[in-house]
Amino acid sequence: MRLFAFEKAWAEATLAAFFPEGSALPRGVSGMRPGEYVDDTIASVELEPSLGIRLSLWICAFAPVFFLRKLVTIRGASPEDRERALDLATRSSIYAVRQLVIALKAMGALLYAGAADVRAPMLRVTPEEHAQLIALRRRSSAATTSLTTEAPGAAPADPPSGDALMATRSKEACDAAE
Amino acid sequence: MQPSEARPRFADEDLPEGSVVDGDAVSGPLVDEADFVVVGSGAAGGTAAYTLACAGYSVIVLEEGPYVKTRELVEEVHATFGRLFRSKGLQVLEGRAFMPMLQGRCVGGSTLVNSAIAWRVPEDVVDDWRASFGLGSITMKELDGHFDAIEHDLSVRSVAEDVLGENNRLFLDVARSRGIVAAPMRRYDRGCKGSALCLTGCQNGAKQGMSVTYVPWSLARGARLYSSCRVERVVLAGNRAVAVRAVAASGHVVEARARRGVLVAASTVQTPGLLRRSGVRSPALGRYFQAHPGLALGGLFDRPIEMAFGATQGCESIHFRKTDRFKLETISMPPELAAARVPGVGKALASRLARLGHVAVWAAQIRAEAQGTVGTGLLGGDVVRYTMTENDMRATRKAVAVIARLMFDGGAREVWPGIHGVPPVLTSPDQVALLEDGPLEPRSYSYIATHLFGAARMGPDPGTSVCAPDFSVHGTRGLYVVDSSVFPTNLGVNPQHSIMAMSRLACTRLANAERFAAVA
Repeated sequence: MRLFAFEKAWAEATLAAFFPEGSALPRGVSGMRPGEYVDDTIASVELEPSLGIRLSLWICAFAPVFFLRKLVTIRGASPEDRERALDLATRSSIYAVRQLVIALKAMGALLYAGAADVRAPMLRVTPEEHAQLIALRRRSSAATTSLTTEAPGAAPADPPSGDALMATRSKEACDAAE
Repeated sequence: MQPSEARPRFADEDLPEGSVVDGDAVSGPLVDEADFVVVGSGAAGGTAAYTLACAGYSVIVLEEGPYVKTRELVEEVHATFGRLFRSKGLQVLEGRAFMPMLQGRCVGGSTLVNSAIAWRVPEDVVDDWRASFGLGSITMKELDGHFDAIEHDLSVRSVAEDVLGENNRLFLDVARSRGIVAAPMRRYDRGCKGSALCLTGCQNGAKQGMSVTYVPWSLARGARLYSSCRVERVVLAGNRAVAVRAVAASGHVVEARARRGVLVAASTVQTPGLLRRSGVRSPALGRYFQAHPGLALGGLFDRPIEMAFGATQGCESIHFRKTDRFKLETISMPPELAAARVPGVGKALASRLARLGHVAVWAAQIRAEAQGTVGTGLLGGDVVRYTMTENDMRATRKAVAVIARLMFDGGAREVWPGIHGVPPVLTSPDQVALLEDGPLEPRSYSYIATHLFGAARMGPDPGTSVCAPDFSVHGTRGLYVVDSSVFPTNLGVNPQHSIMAMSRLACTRLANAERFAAVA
């Protein structure tokens, strides 16, 4: 199953509203062919999830109508209205609506944050902060080391029973037996 | 020495020639035969194959997913989901609320893409199995022997201090300051470098999942692996399991004949369907499904956190396991997954994403009392129906409040609970009360299900269980289930270690029984 051209355009407008140009990050999702991405995803998953993705796309497409009372699709809305409509949709009191819109946001995040040039600044800390991290590690290393001996689930003091044929045979024992 | 010779070699690079048959490359019908056929190569299947191979039996392993080698792993979540996860990570658990359900579908199963956390089944759980489910033959003492051996094989150790990372360390500090018992996790780890990439597969080969340990070690002992081969059914002759019929990715039929037995380790979600397709009829089949629904909170700090460095999941607390039925743990999410949890849309979202280096993510696993079912959908797929109870929701409510409080204790400027009906951004410890009095509606929370149990549970009564206490399917011969679908209850701790120990116990007993029968 593939998207129609108008659905691809909705997908591009929707993801571009979630991850726009001119933000605190180097670029938006527009240049990453988000329409093709959603189309390829729908084509490659099983029927049930593909229907879910398509439904979420339609909900986002008509979010300006439902949430802003404006008679335009997401593609025809202004950038501000697109953001506002989607923000309201993610907080809709109707469970299916908000979950499907959040699902599309999550899908878009896989594409957007997967791009190296976008990902890098998300993870970056300044050199001063990096030095701060090193200091924090040094400061608490003693306390942490002492805790490792108290790790839950640690091997009990009792010796293993070994009543079964191989109950206590580790890899080395198995190797040695061969 | 040439540079290429200096690079480390991983266990999945030195497989005996001809030991792996890739279902994509199968060009005609195949028939093979061994003492035992194992369905699945995850924690349960990998352990079963190795235990039986060690005991001197010939083994065939059938795996639905591909064999993705360490050197083929990539950091991108989208590509990883598409290649290594069932339904590309889009599988959901249906009920009052939908819950994403992540399962590995590859050689190694979920052990390739989880955080490698090793927890022995708590003794109170084993006691409960004995008292309430008639499983007196499974004792902590016997299991401990298997845990010891597995921990030795797979190098179980606490997270090393130098790869702890701030997401983990901060949790430890603030939990301790509140008097909450917390500690670094114990994991299957041989040289973790703190790359925080457990969820997309360890590119350093440090995580000791099945695809770099028990599976290749089994192959070294003569086992044969058919990857990318989906098992359709177990063939029963009368009531005896004699073969497994699979379809390779290329479309050709692969039949694996079993001289002594078939072990099903296809997972809690797939095992019931496979048994049904094989003709097993039991009133308990597909019932009593349980889980540990998990949910995470994000916290934005002024201090740097840098989730990209450190053990993906490095610290935990079972302080509330018995009293409130939840476990706390840290989890460092890659940006692609974290971004979906960050509140807002557009520029507001981007502003927060640009500060991801200052974000910590801590999570709770709920030991839910709810029981669900695993059935077959209209299109033939496996369908899990599951709705959390009010008690489960109360446990959730307390867990998120505890996490939020810990985050504010640690200096969080913002806490992102991700709960419908509660502000998406909390900025003051006073607002934690909103979580304590939060909704008791499952639809208000964003859970994810990763720990799954039951649906083919074990017990002496065929009316209420699918498998006997010796892991054999009631009313059959030579057909065993060794994955977590036999667990009568959930555990309250991460299950991989217990799944492996139970599988090892089952196969050890099976090997013993076969030997004694041969001697007799």
